[in-house]
Amino acid sequence: MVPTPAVGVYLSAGRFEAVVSGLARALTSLAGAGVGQSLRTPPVIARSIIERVGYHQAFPHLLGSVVDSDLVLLPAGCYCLYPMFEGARLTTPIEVSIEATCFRQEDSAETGRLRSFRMREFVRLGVGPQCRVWRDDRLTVAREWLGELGLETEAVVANDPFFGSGNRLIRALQREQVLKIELVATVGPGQRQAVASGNYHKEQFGAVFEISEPAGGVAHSACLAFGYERLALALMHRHGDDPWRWPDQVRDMLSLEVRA
Amino acid sequence: MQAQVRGILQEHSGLGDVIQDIGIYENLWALGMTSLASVQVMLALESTFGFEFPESKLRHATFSSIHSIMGCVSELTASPVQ
Repeated sequence: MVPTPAVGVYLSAGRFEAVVSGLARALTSLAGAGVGQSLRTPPVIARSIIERVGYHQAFPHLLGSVVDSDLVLLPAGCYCLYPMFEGARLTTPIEVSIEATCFRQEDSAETGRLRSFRMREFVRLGVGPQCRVWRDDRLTVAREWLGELGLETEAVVANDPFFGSGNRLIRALQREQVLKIELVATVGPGQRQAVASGNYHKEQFGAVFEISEPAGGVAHSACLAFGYERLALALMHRHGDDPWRWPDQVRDMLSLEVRA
Repeated sequence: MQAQVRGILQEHSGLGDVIQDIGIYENLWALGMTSLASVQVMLALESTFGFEFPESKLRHATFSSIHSIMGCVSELTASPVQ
């Protein structure tokens, strides 16, 4: 990645971008059989949606606004999804794949902690306990897949960086209920970051957008998100800067057959 | 203390007046208290009783009923449950 004057904002050079493209192709095949729609987001989202889900209160320190507009910078892909199902009564669980360009006002310049980054997210809407089971299943599959790519990951119970001292209760409850599990890998010398994150949101978004499951209860949701730049950094740290010299299995998995 | 805890819950738990009619063992989460509302309950308890919840008390169980909240407040203020 090529640094720019802005901390945490990078340009992608050829090799790095080839790896990201390879990851995008490979992640498409990693999607569960249930994935229906595939969506690509713009880098912005209506401020009204972000306010309805409470992101502006939970994470005001991370949110980026577009001045003089009704838009904010998209902090995660799945926020685009829930309004699509507003008021719906699901007849079957919904699984959607989302490619998103995201922004978070991170205050650290450590390796892999970008402010502008891309993610692939798989999101499930459905019955509560099944969403948690789905999250855990997809995390297991993801961890095996990362292992085949040569990345050793550690599954860690985590919490989102909720703002403010009052939110220390939310952070603790999130960990106690194991709502967030991160797959952590080495992305640079001595630097470990989450390269994937599995989240069980319970009824949080289903309640806001009045989405119900087949039996009539509030739909629950879960997601599994992969950070493209962090995955590419982890792979380059593991296998070297030249993707065309990586092990055959890894190149095959990423379809890195043609020199860029 | 129970009247104070009920007052705080009535105002901040999102459950409203029903708080005055429930038993002390009824589960507040099952009644529909959200985690966002529980933060407001926690802050109000801290400011009313003059303590700060330690990390060890930031648990689902602590905020699960009027009884569990009173027990925790009693322990943290070293005053008997009344």
